[in-house]
Amino acid sequence: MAAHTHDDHMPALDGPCSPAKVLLREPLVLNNRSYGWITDRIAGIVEKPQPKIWWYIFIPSVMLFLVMASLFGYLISTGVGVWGNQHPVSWGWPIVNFVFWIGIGHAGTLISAILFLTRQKWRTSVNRAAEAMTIFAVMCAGLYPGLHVGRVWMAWFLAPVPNANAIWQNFKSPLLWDVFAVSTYFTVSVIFWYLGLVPDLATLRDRCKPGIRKILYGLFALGWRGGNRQWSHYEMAYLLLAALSTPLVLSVHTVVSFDFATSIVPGWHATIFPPYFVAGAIFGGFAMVLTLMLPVRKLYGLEDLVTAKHIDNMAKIILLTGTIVGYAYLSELFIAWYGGNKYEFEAFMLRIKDGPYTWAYYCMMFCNVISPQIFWFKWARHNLWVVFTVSMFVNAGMWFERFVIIVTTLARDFLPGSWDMYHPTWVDVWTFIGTFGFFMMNFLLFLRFLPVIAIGEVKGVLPESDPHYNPDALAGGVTEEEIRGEAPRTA
Amino acid sequence: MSKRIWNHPEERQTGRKYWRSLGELDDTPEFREWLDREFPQGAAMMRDESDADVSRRSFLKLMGAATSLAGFGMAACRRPETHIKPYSKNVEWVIPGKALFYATSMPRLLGGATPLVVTTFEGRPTHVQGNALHKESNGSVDSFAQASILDLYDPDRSKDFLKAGVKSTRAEFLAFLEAEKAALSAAQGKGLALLLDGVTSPTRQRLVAKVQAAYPQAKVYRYEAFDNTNQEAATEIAFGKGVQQVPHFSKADRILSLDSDFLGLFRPKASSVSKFMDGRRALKPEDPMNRLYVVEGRYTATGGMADHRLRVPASQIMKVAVDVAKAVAAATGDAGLKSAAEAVKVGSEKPSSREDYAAWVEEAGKDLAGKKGRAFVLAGPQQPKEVHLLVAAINQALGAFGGPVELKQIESTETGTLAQLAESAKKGEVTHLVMVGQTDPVYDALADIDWAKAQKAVKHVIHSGVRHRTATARAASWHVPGTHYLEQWGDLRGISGAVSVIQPMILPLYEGVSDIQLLSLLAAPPVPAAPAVPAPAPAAPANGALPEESKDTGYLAVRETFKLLAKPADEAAEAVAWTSFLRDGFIANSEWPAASASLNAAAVASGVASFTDVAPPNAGKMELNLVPCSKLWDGRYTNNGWLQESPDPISKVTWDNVALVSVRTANDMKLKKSLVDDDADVIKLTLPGGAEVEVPVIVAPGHADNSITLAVGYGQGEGENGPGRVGEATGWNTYPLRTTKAPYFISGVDVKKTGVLMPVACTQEHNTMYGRELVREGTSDRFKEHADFAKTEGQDGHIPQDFSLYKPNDLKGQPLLSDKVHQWAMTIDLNTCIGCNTCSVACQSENNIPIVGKRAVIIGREMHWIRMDRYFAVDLDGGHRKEGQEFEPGSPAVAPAKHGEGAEVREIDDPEMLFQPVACQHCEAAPCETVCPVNATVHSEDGLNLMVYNRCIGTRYCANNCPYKARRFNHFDYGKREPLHKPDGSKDNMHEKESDWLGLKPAIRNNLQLGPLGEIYQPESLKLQKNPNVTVRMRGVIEKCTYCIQRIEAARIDAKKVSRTKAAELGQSNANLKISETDLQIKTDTVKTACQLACPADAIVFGNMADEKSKVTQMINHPRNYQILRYIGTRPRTSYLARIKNPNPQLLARSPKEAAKVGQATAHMH
Repeated sequence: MAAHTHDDHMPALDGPCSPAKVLLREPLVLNNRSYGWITDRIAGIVEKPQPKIWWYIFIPSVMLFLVMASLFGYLISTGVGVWGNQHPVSWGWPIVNFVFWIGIGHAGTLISAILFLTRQKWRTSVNRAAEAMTIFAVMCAGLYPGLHVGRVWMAWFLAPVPNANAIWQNFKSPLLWDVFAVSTYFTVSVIFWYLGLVPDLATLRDRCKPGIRKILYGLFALGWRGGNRQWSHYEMAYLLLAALSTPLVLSVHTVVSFDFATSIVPGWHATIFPPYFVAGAIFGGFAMVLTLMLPVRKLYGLEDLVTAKHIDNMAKIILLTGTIVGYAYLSELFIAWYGGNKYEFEAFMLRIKDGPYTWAYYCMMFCNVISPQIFWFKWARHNLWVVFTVSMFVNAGMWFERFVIIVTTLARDFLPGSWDMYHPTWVDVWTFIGTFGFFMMNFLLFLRFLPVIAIGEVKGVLPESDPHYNPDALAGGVTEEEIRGEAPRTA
Repeated sequence: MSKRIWNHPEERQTGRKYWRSLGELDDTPEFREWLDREFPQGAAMMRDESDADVSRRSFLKLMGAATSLAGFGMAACRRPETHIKPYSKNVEWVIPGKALFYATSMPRLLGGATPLVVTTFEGRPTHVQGNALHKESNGSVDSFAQASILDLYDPDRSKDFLKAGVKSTRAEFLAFLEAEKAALSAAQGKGLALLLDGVTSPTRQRLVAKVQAAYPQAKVYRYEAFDNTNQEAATEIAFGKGVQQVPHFSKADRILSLDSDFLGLFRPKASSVSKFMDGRRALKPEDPMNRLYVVEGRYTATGGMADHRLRVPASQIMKVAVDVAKAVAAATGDAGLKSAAEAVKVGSEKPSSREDYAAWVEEAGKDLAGKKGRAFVLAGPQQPKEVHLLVAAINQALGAFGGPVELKQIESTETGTLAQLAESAKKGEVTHLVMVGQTDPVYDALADIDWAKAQKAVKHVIHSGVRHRTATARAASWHVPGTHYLEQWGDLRGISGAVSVIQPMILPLYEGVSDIQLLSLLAAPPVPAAPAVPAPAPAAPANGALPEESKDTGYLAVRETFKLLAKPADEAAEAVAWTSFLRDGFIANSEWPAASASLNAAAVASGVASFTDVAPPNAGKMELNLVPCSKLWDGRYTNNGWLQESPDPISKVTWDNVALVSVRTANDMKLKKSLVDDDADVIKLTLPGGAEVEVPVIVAPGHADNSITLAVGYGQGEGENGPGRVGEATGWNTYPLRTTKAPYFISGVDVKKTGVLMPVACTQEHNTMYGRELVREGTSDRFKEHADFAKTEGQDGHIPQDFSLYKPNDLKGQPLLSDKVHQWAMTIDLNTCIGCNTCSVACQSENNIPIVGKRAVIIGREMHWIRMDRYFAVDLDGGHRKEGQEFEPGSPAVAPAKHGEGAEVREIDDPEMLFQPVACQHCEAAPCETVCPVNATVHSEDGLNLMVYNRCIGTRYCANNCPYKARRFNHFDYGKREPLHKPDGSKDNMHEKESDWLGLKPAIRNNLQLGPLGEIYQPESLKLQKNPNVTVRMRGVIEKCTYCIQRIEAARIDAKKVSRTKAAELGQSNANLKISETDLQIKTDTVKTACQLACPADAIVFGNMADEKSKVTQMINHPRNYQILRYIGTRPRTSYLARIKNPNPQLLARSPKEAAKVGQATAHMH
């Protein structure tokens, strides 16, 4: 880390000339932790037995996963009718949940790719967990469109494989674009995640006693030895993959939003959908990262690695994207009025006033637009309870957003004669709860078997890793807090 | 619980056959009987699988299946397979997949006939349509006739002879009958009574006379729960015996209906609607239009068509009749009418609270009188005979007799009434009662007759009918399985007397005996002693058909009657005439002769004096109207799923009879007005006589205040005592409320809200158009000034010119149409649509559309391909719509958008009612096609939006993107599973409110939700109804209207054959055959869709818009033509013609409220 001199801030010359003080940049790892400590702490999570609370969450999660699996079995064996879907709401909770999960799956790749490209070093402490979250969220999301179709056994018609019918897919359909977008995103995310894992898998392999674990870690570490040649190839590959993933972050939710935007249903047919969906996805994704990382950091004593600065940064992103989303909501209303299309105007009027699901609209507004505004205050960004609460609000709010878009719109479209109310069934509800079990089960297994923080990368942001590292120059430095006369920042 | 059915392959008809005894080889009924007697358990194995309990084979199969399932679980999980089996020997005339058509006719409810042409495939009737050759028909039907085919295949219909409810045999019954006949014959028929239903059949009449001749002391009675006796009595007083009034709607310019639903339930002839509409088709602005005034208590199809409608409780109709009579008398100067009107003693209260009531009545009277000779008044059959008498007097003054109302001299026979029969039965004068026809008096007789008790007093009650699961059949000592009209010989007389044939389309499916066969048996002299073991019937078909000699009696009897009616010169002429009778379906010129009677004014004046008036109903003493159900009639169609699930045209309620009240009454009683959450308030009605009923109530805009309408026909019991799998546990029995004194409307009813809520399955929860210009409407004046007013209404007036980046023409300027000779399109004339649902049922019959049950309708999963949207045009703020009030989510009458109580509801007492049938619009730029990821819905070259079931994976995106919401999804395997039963096999009692868990519906409601663990079972007989040219859709696919593509393709194949013949005739060799595209064109207007054919108003026109001569091209180019939601640019092929109202200018001038309403539903939308 380069030392700074601040000539223009030199003290007055009337006294004895004191040496220039260095303004210290806020460290990304607190308490001057060493390389060894970092390795021990992170690898220790995998090596030591899990705390009891891990089991307390894991077992119910597995049970919920089994509930989900059996309900999907029930669905396939019996028919889509077990869900609440009807006319005119042909897409109900399943697609709401699909869009919800796919949105959550955005933060991971954003953190890993875009922040990597923009040299945001704070990403290193959270990117691994966020990427894992992405993959599991996309897995949850992918279940829905695959299984919600009426004839699951024919779902392979969606794949462009040559077949005897000589019928190709309809490349005009946004739903087909979805298939490609989501599957590409999932594939690239998995590869990117795995590539980042390789050096850490090697670390784990080296720390293992011989046995099955060593063999498996060794197998997946792909013979990593940590040599310079390996590192330079690795970093180039990582950079390229980051560059490849970046457009995907934008494309996936853009394509998902096309499902709605390219249709002609009033309330769906809007050009604002792509940016609004992407912002919303990042918004929801970061909220989910916070929801997961706050307990993990506490549980495994990672406060020195995932510091208040990280949380502060993520809170700021939530504030920004939440405000973008709020802007989008308001501009939808404005355009509905300004556009002069009666049907669109009425669709939005039914959302905000006297409609059957108006309550959902206001839930969404409160959770997504109002609640993050508390992050304008620094104390709020630094109070973990506030951060956690807001992140939970945002999670709920983003689900309501999708509910409002899908159900509210379909229930009140063009012809009042076919309007009808939609109610989910118990199968809808328990399947959705079950996907949380599936997600948590995967995430807990990830915690159990893989390093939750990228060991190799975190070491790279330690002051010692800087080639120009000069401990003496930093010894007498001051922090921003000291200048302001504030209390020193602690974890 | 019905049994699990395992389908064995059919027994081989050819090749080697294995048998254990000669009896088995023969498989005669006697052998089966013997088997039943000797080996009661073994016999089950020999019977059809559907009769079997657990047979040895099915037991082994079950065990085997269970073992393999236990072992391999998913091993049985594979995609569904079905087999198609060809004929191994061809049947003459039958080509699989090609329909044969035969003429027949359906006996009607109020007497008369619906002439039909029946489609049969491989000997199975599958669909009915009207017989356009017949004078009383325009080739249309109504929903009863359309759905009646399902009753033929009803698995719950009567199959066996029952002796006191226990299965018996034909032989046993015959033995009993012969013995009793001998005894009766000796006693000159003393104690014998015949109870007939309302069917008017010459053969039946002849046979009844024969029975009376054989048993001189026998008595004949006639009974229908709903009949026309009030009018008949009035006609007899006014004109003398044997006179019948036959209305001719095409001869009238002004019609006043006094509570007569002549376009709906009480249609005199199949062609009535069409004839009426001919007077108001408004094809050109200058075309004259007839004018209809309707006075009624609840909205009916007729009221919806009215140019001026007055809502008046049924008991107050007489007051309106008197006021109209006075107005007509004043205008015509008819003294007879004046004295008749003055002779009626009515109270001085105004029947209507409208301030313009006096103007309404006066102007209506003047208007009628102004069209003397071309105007007439009709009264409903439920109105007392005094009303009909006064109406006859008005019609006399209007010069209607001989004009629009024809008097016919009919052959009438003296029959007693049910009340008389009950009386003599209770006295013990009846020992033998034979009931012929489809009536069910134990269930539906007037309460004070107490028919159940009377029937018990009769020693031998022989009941015959298609339905054995009726209260009457259960109480009878013998039940004889009847035949459906499609399996029997018979004949009928229509209202104007024309004789139509009933010829069998199929051998009786079960051991049926037709009414004519039963009467023939009765009329035949008793056989001394029935042989102990009947002689083996010669070569009886194995499918349980009648033995040859008894099958013939129906045929012989009808043929004999035919001889008497047609009066042929000789045998050869008779054979020719008979053949044309069978082919055409009727005897030409067999109408009743005109009557020479004239009105007896004195009798009318004294007749009307007997009228006793009642005070108008008020909040404490309401009026209850009991009406026949628009779906079940008197209850006889209770087990017909198509009708049960067809929404009531006005209330849109399925599966139940609910009470209807006006908006104001609902407000006064603080009733729930919205059905958005599918629950309705339950009210308790207490009649002056003490009878009570609790029913759910919904708001019906346009209903008279303080008056309640309730249909009959429901609540026929549950389980073993129910009417069958479809009809059990639906609705509430309201027959106990009917008494001789007040069979139709009852005054002084106490009504209380119970506070209980009950689920009601309504297919339309929102009743207004929310300011959207969907059903466009104008007045005849507006049409004259601005013929294409409909094209620019609402948003359509503001849309910019559409342009497309895709060019419609090629470089040479030729249109880029791949099929230049066929482009299909449809128009629906909203001016003539009466909203009767017949199109919807016809579509169900033609296209194998399943029913889904009440629960699924509540969720919104009904499958109808063509639905009838019904809107009320809300008259806001006393008739003055304000600018900017188009969109008011909070204002619609019945459904305030805010849920629950307390939401503001405006008074909308007198709205207009509009109908709009909506099916797939076959958009040229179809939004559904672009979004399907797998190309399952694509466009055909001839302009159809196709649905490829095999390709569909069920993403349902198309349904979301369809602006008309015309696409339906198979949420379950409706084609394979019974949707009405609970997992334990009992009927899902749909009256119970579903228990909620956090607002969620309960887990397993019925068999459908059980999936593979549920019963995979469709009754075998129902499969026979299916149209073989239409796929039975499996679960998970979207389906929708196809414009009856199977009919188009059949016609296309025919056109190809014709052009080949033509080319051959030209003498060209095969190699030189040059067939141009136009040679292949289907002949103009020869393809007709099922809905089009069924439509009684001829409102639906389908055809080829590439053919300039076609009717659809004319209708598309018509100034009234418009597309709904044109601004989206979907370019739908189905378009609508705006509705035209023909209001009376004088009345509009006097009533601003009427002027703001009539024909103004969309006038303010711009």
